[in-house]
Amino acid sequence: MKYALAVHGAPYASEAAAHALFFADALLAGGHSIERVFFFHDGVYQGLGAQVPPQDSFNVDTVKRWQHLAAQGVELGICIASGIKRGVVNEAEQTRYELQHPTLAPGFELVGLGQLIAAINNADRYVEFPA
Amino acid sequence: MSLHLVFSPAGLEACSSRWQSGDKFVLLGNGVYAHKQALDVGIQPTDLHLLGPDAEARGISSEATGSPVSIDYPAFVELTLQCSPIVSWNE
Amino acid sequence: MKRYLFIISRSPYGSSHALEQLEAAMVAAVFDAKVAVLFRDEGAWCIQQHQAGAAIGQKTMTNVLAALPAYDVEELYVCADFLNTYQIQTEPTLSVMPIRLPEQQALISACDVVITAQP
Repeated sequence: MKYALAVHGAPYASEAAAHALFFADALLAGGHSIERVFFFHDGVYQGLGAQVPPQDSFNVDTVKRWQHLAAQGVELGICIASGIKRGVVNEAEQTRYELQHPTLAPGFELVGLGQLIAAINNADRYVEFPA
Repeated sequence: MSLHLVFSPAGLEACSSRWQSGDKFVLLGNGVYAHKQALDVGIQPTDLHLLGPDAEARGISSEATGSPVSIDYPAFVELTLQCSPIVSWNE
Repeated sequence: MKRYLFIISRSPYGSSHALEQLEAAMVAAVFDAKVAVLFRDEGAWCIQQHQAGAAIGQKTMTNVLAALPAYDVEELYVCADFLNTYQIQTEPTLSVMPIRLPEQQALISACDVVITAQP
């Protein structure tokens, strides 16, 4: 089956990333496909590129895990409206708003809300991982 | 047949009056703390599942009779194949 | 055509949850989905009359709700129990149907996609 996933929780404030990543791994291992992982509300913080995971924490570097998922062909879409207002910007938005630095991690892209709906419309199942 | 993903005890409270007989449930994250309350609100043990790693991390055991079944991620995926819609509850 | 239900569970102004859910609902309707919105628990405060978001520099929620029909989002429901418990006075220009818990159960089961987007 085809799945659309949504992540609404920020790093460290929620288990959204861990749940979504393990679930995504199980989906791909089971032969299913992922239309898109869409990051919305505080979930956009998952795409921040400057995160430094604590060395002594059991949690691995979730940005790297997301990027590993992207390398397997899964699109990681950060909601552009939710993202830019929270400071998650790519080079285009950095230029547009004359900001100092882009902050979006490689492997993620800024997309409109329409990409969430398009993914859900194309998918057989939609699963949300809240904060 | 809906699948309710319950991420917290508050999520169970919100969900508990909005489900229908035959629906399935997965308690995950802090939702595993609500495994007894889930049975108290009338959810059948056979319809109730704990995400194993989350329960184990929190010291919640499902070994007692009538307690929900502990599942892994592949079984979680299997449940999502069987049910629609899939509804997340966190508050 | 998929049937979507957007559930709003937080009150307006204190967080962006309600506004962001409604933006998503409007986009879904543009994509030809059949869209319904349910205000449950604290989310029921979205339909309270006499709101004035300008007092705190925000968009007035009831104005956003009034614009929904223009985006083909016309099925608005509110949890009747919460409405009654907290004596919420609905903004009279809005068309929102109070529904009890059994009807909310049926509404959820009847949808293909439920977006709760809970913080």
